[in-house]
Amino acid sequence: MKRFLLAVLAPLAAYASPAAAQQGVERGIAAAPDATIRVYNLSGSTTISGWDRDSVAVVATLEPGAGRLYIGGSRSAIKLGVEEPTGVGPRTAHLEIRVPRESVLWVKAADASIAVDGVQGGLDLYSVTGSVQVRGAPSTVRAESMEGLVSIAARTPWARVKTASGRIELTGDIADLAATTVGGEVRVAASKQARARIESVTGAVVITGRPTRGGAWEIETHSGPVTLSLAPDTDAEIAVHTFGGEVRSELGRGATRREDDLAGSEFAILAGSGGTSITVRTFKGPVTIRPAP
Amino acid sequence: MRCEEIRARLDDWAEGTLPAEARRDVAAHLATCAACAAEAQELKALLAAAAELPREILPPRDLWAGIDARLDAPANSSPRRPSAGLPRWALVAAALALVVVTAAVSAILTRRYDEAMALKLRRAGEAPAAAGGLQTGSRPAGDEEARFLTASQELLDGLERQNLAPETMAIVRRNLATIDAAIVELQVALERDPGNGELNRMLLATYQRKIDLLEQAARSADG
Repeated sequence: MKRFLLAVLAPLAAYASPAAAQQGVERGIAAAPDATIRVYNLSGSTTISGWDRDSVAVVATLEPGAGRLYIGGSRSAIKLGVEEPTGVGPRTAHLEIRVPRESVLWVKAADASIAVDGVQGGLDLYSVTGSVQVRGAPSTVRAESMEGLVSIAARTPWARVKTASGRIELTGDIADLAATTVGGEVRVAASKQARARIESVTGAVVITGRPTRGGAWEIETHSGPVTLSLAPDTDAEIAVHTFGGEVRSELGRGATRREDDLAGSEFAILAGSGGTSITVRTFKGPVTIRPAP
Repeated sequence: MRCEEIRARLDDWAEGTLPAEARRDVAAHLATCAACAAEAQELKALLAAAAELPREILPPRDLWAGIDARLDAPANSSPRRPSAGLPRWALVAAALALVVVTAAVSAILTRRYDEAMALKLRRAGEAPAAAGGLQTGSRPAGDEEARFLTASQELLDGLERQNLAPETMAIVRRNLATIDAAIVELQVALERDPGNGELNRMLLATYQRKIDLLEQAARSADG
């Protein structure tokens, strides 16, 4: 019986002990309403939300050996994060941070995820393999992850997004948008973009919804397929130039303008009465234009 | 000339460095000797394949782990002794021969790569920029391409010095390979249609993506 209990309890104890040993730390510091805040947390997660107080508050959960939580600086410039321990492998730290709503943020991670909600200042968010997610109404967003998902569901006048192979999902109202990837899929819900530029090498690009009238879209891929799944009542002039990609359109009235083995093919498609400019260029990526279901 | 003499000259013939008269002699022999002609074709095919090789092939990042493990292996595992059947001078000679052959092959591959790249750049430089095709003003595409090549190499060297995490470097290399494959496809298309402004623009834009990727990786290392 004793042997049986040991066999059952030993794995449970081993599973439970890291969590039990995790260290909870709380810190706070006074901050100006529009403070510039730098956050540095390599592994784990960093969750930041804006609030209506003149302070920064951090609740950290640190894995044993994860290093020390530090926070310091002046009211207008604050730096916080987890000191990377030397000589040990990566340890996770989970940071929940509250900052004044108008703060300007710079956040850096390696494999940690970054999530920001309700911050109205500018955001610079960098992760290597972790995901980056933004909600709310920041004044600007610059978000990069090499391999992680970048998701922006926010209202912002300006956003620049980059990944290497990470997926990009952009919803909400982004007036001036640029998204670049090598091999990640890019999905954009078209809405009030006045200007959008999307570039990929092999990654697929999918645009859905109804682009606002008067907007200008430029989409370019090398071999990544491009799909425009647009609302049936979209008003747009769509120009497609491809060297070797197949073009299929089930929307509007289309015409082949030029087809040449060397120079490539050009197509012009008018959806509704026009008014939004959508230009698609691919080297060999197929292009599909269809009404949204 | 006899077959032995011809075969001794085949390397220079394939490289195109034989004097005209000797070249004629070799060509005349190859026209009548099937065995030497077959060897010449094999040599040319080998050189062509070598020219397509990347300039450097990095070992897998986990190679060191294997080397390290072997260095740390207990000393009681008896070292392999040379075979009693081979005299020491023969082993030394074989080692020297291996060094010489390796150096010669490396020199040929490097020279071939440089020549091919220089040719590509010259061709790209000769391509007239179509009106509005290039966004780089009056600068010919070849100059731009050379500038991008230099910049990307400098950035890559910088990344190596920054001592990025092996996992990050693996991501960078994977994505660089994707971009390089696209660049090669665009270069091949440009060889067919060197004056195509849109292709030139796409090529430079793809180089720019390479620079962007390297800069993004460099930012990931900044504190």
